[in-house]
Amino acid sequence: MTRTVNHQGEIQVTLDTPVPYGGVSTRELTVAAALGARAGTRDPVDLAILSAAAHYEDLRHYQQLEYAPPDPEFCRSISRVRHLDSGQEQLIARGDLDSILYLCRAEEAGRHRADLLADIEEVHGFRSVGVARGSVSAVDGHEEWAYLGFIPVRATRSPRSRKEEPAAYRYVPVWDWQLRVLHWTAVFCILSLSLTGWLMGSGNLVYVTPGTDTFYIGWLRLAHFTCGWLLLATALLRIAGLFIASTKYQRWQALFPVTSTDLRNLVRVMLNYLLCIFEQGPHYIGHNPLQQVAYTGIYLVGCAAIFTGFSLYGMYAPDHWLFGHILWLNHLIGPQYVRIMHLATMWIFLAFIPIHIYLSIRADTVEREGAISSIFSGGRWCRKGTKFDDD
Amino acid sequence: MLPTPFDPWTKDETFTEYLVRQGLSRRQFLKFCGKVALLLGGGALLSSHDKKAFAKEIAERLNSAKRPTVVWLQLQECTGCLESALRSGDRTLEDLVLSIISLDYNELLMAPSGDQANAALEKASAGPHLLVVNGSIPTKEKGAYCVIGGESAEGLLIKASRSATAVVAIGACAHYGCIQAAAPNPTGAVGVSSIVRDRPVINLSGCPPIGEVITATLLYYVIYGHAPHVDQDGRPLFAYGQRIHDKCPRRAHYDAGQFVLQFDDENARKGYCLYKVGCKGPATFAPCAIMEWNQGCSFPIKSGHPCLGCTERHFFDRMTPFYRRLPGLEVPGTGVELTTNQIGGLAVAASVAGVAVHSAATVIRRQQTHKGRPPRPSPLPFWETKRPESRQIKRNQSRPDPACHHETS
Ligand code: HEM
Ligand code: SF4
Repeated sequence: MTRTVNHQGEIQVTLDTPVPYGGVSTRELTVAAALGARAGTRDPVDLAILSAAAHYEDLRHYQQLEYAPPDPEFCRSISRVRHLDSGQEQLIARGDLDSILYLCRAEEAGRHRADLLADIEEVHGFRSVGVARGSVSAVDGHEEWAYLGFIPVRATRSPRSRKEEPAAYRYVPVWDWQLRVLHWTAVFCILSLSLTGWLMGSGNLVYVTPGTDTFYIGWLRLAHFTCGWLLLATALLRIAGLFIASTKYQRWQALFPVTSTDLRNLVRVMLNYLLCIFEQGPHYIGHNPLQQVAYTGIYLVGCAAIFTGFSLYGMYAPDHWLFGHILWLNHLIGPQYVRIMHLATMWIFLAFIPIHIYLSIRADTVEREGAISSIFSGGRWCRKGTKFDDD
Repeated sequence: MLPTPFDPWTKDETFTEYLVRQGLSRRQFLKFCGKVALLLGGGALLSSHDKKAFAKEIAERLNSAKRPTVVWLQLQECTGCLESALRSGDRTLEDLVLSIISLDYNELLMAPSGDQANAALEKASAGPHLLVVNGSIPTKEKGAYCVIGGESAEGLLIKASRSATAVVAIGACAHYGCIQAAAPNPTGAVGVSSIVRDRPVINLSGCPPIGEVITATLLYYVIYGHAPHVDQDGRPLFAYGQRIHDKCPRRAHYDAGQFVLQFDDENARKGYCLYKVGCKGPATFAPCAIMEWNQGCSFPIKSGHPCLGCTERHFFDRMTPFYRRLPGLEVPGTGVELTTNQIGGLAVAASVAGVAVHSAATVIRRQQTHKGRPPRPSPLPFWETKRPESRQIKRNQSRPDPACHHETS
């Protein structure tokens, strides 16, 4: 599949692979389409087709004798061109596919198929330029038309910078830099906590050669506790952010589906994910209801990790002015089961991470929602005209 | 040199008077006070930080202390705790304590029996006294599992605690029920604090507790007239304020990552840390590593056996398996036991597999639908291409049909 992109000023024209009909070659179709343009045209689409055709043939060998601009009724233009070397003349009709097909009196089946292909193009923004070639009978002046195929064309405005916002999109700040710093700090902490925690907890991979004098577990504990305190600070700042953050996608209202629309969307999104449907579905700038529930859940797991972590940590001083008051879980279920809970939070995190990364990448590539890029850049482009349920 | 229990401290004299009567020099007395001070934690948890000053304080307080009445009940238990108290090894200290507290009622040690014993109990319970309890209280079948003198353990305890100034629950049984309270707890055994709710209960946990901890607590009570500072589980902080792990002689090996992997391996002979063979020291608050047992002779970890965590509530349910670091979790209905790490590993594998399946499904699905970037139908003549029904796409309704369309159809 080849796709050529032309920049004509701020208009960006994309030509998809031409779709020739029957035994027609791509070259023939492209050249014919170019010959159908008005001589001296400045139209961006024409220029794009001309430059595509220039790869095949030197168009200076043709002369346009006549040109009928597209009329509103038939939506097609007709040009008469002569090949300078052979002196051969031909008519080229170009325009709306239906109109071109009608011109050629194409059989129903052929028309249906051409339509089908054209529809496919239209869905993701391509228009089909139909092309036909005609000759005039020397005997009775009857025009004989042959359908050549069509070329999918898309014209968009090229985004140059965020400030010059393209007409079709707008830039929405979603995650401020504070939140992104917290997110990546938490990622760092959770990964190092998992590694150090697993190493020191299981005592695996630490078999020290006899006689050597090390402080292996001691250092692991130091690293674990340092990251633990850092994660606590991250969590506290995030909690503060729930009330003072700069965008509403970060505040506490975004933690749960609150409105009835959100609740309905929750079910829809779940079905979409389950059945692998991605072309429809509710659009959200921040998190969709399923993501909200999942991420709030993971926040709670994080809180559980911190709480059980400090329950274990606090055991060093049960009469401490602060830790003395957070050891109630140890008394309730016993320190061994607190350890198991703590260990379980690690596994929940580790099981969550692949799904989290997958869904974020998927949101960018399949659903085009821009989630993964937004956690790096902080914002996302939203297509105008799309209705966002949390706008 | 110190008094024997056969010449006890009488009700009316102060402790100093009693010691003088025993022919004790002031120097010997102060030495004794220093020892008590050490036992109670060097004063770290008390008002004075200076050990000498603390010993002096103890001396002053002992000078004026009056002999308390003590009722010592033995309920659903094995007598191990009292054995531990009697055989703590330090003759002088333990003799002294026994003479100090003058047991008015105790099933094991008292001379009277039958009605006389019951009368003694009644008399002692009537006035203010210190109540010491060994053993748990079975509550099922109206307490039929432990009946003494025709009275259920619960009834005895309630009666004896009515005018007690303080209650000391000695041993894991009195603390929460110990082994007999382990699941499924057939006798419904509970600890003292579940029955006596209207006054503070000091729990000297352990199966059994170290003798010195018992004597030191009783001494504290005699000296100060009130209970020592306790943790959230009612255990005196001077003894149960720190983990075994934090005072363990093998701790350096733990920090170094040097572990015993099997009981008879080279590392076991080297005295490495017992963490990987199930030591519960990291979760157990007890003074074993400081006081040790039998007059500082040894304690389990020192002699090569992992700590079982017997001073922790429900240790028989919560600290088992004794020779593994963490308990496994049984998959309901299968009898298969998995460790947390195995379950977690399965969860991660399931997550990765789910991602793989879902992304494969997405790719397949995308080939079937028209959105995104569909694979282009090959530009072959229509009669050569067959498209399955499901792939046919509904024509875009919004596209206006050109006028010419109507002419032909
Ligand atoms: C996402 C966060 C965290 C993860 C994934 C994590 C992971 C772990 C793991 C796997 C263990 C070993 C458990 C075992 O096998 O027995 C552990 C132990 C521990 N963690 Fe964490 N942890 C986290 C947060 C924290 C925090 C916030 C603290 C608080 C300071 C903390 C303190 C501890 C302590 C005290 C231990 C026991 C260490 C010992 O045995 O001496 N953890 N952690
Ligand atoms: S033997 Fe037990 S208490 Fe001692 S350091 Fe090892 S784990 Fe801790």
